[in-house]
Amino acid sequence: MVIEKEIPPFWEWLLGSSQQLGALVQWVLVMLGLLVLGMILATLIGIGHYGPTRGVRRTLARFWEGCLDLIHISPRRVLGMTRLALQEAIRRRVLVAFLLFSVILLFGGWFLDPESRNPAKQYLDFVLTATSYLVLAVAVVISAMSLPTDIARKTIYTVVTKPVRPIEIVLGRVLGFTAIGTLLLLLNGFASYIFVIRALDHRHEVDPETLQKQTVISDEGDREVLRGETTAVFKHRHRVEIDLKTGKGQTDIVRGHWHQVWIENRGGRQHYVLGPPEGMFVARIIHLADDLTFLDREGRPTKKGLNVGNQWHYRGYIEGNSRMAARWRFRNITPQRYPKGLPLEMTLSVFRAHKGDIERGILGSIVLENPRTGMRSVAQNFIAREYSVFQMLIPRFLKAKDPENPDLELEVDLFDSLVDNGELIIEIQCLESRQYFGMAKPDLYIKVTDGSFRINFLKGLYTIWLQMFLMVAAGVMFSTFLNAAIALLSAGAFTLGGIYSQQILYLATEEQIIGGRSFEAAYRLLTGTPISAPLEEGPVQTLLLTLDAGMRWVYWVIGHMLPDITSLGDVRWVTSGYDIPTNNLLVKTFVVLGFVVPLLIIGHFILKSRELAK
Amino acid sequence: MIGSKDEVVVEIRNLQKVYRDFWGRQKVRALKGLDLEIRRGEIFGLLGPNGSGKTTTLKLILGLLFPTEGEVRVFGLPASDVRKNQRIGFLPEESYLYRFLNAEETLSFYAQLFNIPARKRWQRVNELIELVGLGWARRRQLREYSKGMARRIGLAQALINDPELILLDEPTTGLDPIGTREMKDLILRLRDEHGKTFIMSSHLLADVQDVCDRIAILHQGELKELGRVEDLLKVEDVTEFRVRGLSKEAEEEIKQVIAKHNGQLLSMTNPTTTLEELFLRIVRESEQHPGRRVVGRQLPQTTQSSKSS
Ligand SMILES: Nc1ncnc2c1ncn2[C@@H]1O[C@H](COP(=O)(O)OP(=O)(O)OP(=O)(O)O)[C@@H](O)[C@H]1O
Ligand SMILES: [Mg+2]
Repeated sequence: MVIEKEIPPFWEWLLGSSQQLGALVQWVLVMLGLLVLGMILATLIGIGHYGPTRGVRRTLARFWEGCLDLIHISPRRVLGMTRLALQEAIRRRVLVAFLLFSVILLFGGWFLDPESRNPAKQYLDFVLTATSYLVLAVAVVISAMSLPTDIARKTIYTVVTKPVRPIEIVLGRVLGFTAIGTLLLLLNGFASYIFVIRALDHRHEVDPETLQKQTVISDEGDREVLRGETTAVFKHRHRVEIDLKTGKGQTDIVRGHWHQVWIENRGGRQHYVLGPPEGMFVARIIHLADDLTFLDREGRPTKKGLNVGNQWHYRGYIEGNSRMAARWRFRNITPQRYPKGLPLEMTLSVFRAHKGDIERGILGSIVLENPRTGMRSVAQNFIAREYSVFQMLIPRFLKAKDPENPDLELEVDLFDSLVDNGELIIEIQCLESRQYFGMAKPDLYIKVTDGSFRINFLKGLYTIWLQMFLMVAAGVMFSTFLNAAIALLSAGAFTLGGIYSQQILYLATEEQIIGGRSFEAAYRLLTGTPISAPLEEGPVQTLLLTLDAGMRWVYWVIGHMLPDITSLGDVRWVTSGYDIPTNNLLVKTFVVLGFVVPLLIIGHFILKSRELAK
Repeated sequence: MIGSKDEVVVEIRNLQKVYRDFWGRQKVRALKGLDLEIRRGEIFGLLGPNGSGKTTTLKLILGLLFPTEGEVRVFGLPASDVRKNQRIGFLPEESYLYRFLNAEETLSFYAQLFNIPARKRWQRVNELIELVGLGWARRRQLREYSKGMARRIGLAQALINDPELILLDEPTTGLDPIGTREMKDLILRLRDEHGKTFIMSSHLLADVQDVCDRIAILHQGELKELGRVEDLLKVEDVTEFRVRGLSKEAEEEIKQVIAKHNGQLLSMTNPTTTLEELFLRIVRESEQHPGRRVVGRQLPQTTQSSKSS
């Protein structure tokens, strides 16, 4: 699981901590800034139209009326406007989009491959991406077109001459189109779910030739079992094991799923029957570490691992067969949560300085350490493979080294000796020289349990819903002062800007950018100056650098005004099989509200200050 | 109802409107300093040729446009204050209604905007649909309505809140003769029985003459004439006689009497619509002497009397 931006616990996020200002305070500050900016702008426009004294007086009067309007908002009028928006959308046959989606699903079958390594992820990625694009597109279009159409057709005359407050017109539309979008999202989501489940459903049969009777010897007594293989479906087979006494068994896990097997008597003959695939769609609830630190080649603690040359700084690397190590610090490790031990999972990345057998995997070792006493467990080895989840259970009772006498190995209880007050350090090393392990904090976690996939699917839809809600609010806001086509373009630009908001911020905050920022880059492009060559000194260079320095501010403001739409959609969690933490949903909900509220209010004041009959 | 008969419902002071284009350049001076006062219980007619500023005046009263100079107060509130809309009904020039709604949905929607609770709302919707005679088409979408039907539902929409002040922009266009008659009767009835105030614009002079108490004649954004219809139409130097059962001899005798007094007989039969004459004269004169105008507030205020009494 890749988590680029970690989401802090809700209350800490909202109210802040000793080092950081809470989101709420930041929001209030930004709102105050917007208010001052808006007032200045409105006053200037007023003065431009009506001269200084009347301009200022009118602007203030309008502002005051607008504020009163906000207080006099009436649920019934909002509901009226909402219903109108809904009726408009339905009578304009917006739900036809659902048919379009069904067609996409039909054709999707051509590109999707149930025989791939991780078909569940591929299928889920496809349907959820298609759903979100379609729903977002429909939402933006209907929300950006509606109000301009009303103004162009002058139907707005009969509305604004009623005691309707502009906020009610704006809010009603946002709610109405959100409702339509919700309906569309649910329809598409439901169709997607059915599509994926059915497309990947398959049954094997037991290949009778391969079946052999064997005896399994164990502490609980010996068992007679049948072992064999299944037929190949979707290019894979399973091994089966059936207990002869119970007549039941199961297959091994291949391509992320397994099947139940049982014996049925039909017409006096024994049949071996396999059930549907299980474990294909999971929602792992995981317990992440609090932080990850590294040890450098000399074994000294550092913040970051090595950078092996790819630009993406997400993972830090440790070199094999050195003193380098990665250390995760966990909290809240209690015997109540993990009575049988710690079910660890790892998604390490493997980097090879020399190409060996790619399929083979790289040897690593894992050690548990008590953060207070420094007692360490005896190292356990494992083999990490690229692109796969490595699972391992750390048993509750294990061998550890006596801190006083490192040669002495003791049998200890994990929770008594290695966990201190719920805290535990897990250390990973790479054992093969000239090989590297890359890791980020979420690459090693404890799997608490499996959550419900269906609920997680719904959570994923909810994050799409949040994006849609935001887009609708933006579309309606733009449509309060732009015509249909321009409003649509602006809402589209807002969406795109939101998707790239992190890159825009990067342009603002990064000190050195190869090839320069906007103006320098454009200059280089026009003159054909390669990005590596320094610019000639002189007035041109000074001018470009000054302009670009100014642009940094512009980017900073724009980057902070735009919502980070990419990280709003959490469908990656769903497609990679992780349960979306409720905390994330909570934070994102408030982020979206933080944008929607000012969008509504801005729309209100724009509508208030507009001559609608022009 | 609150307010006396002399209460000023709409007060227009030095109202000017300049339409500008996107770049703020002046396009049209649609109103050039209009002064008017409209009192409770009046039926006030705005007359003028096409493009004279009637619709512009109504939009300024409604707050759909903002004045370039001067101000409009409705029920003592500035036109930009939405609270005034609670007591206003408006029938626009054309029926700007949602074509995807049917008659019931349309009226219920507008009623909702007045915060009328559901039960009262449906009662009101039913009443109004009956009033405008559209019971037979209440479930049909407005896109299927004829112009006159749309006009009727437009009127129903304007009355949904039982308003005190009703603005009608060319209320009879698109209506058949019966509809026109009904519209006029309705206007008179609402004024007489419920004390409503009307401001209507029209260039159908017969309509104005039939219902309006006072009229203002606009031409190129200027007020050219203002007063009670009766006073304006009374032509002092013209006397009309309409007599029944007169013999040929008696007619001849009267003609002689007129001739003896140096009078000139204009017609003995149907008198012409004199409002039409007045209107044409004013427009012609105004074209010859641009800039002359009357100022509404300076005219002596006459007491109310209803036309139909
Ligand atoms: N939105 C607008 N932009 C620019 N000019 C306009 C606009 N609306 C009206 N005008 C101009 O203002 C003047 C007055 O128009 P208005 O619509 O008030 O006339 P009217 O008296 O209602 O005419 P009609 O009898 O044709 O309805 C006209 O010259 C018209 O061209
Ligand atoms: Mg007009």
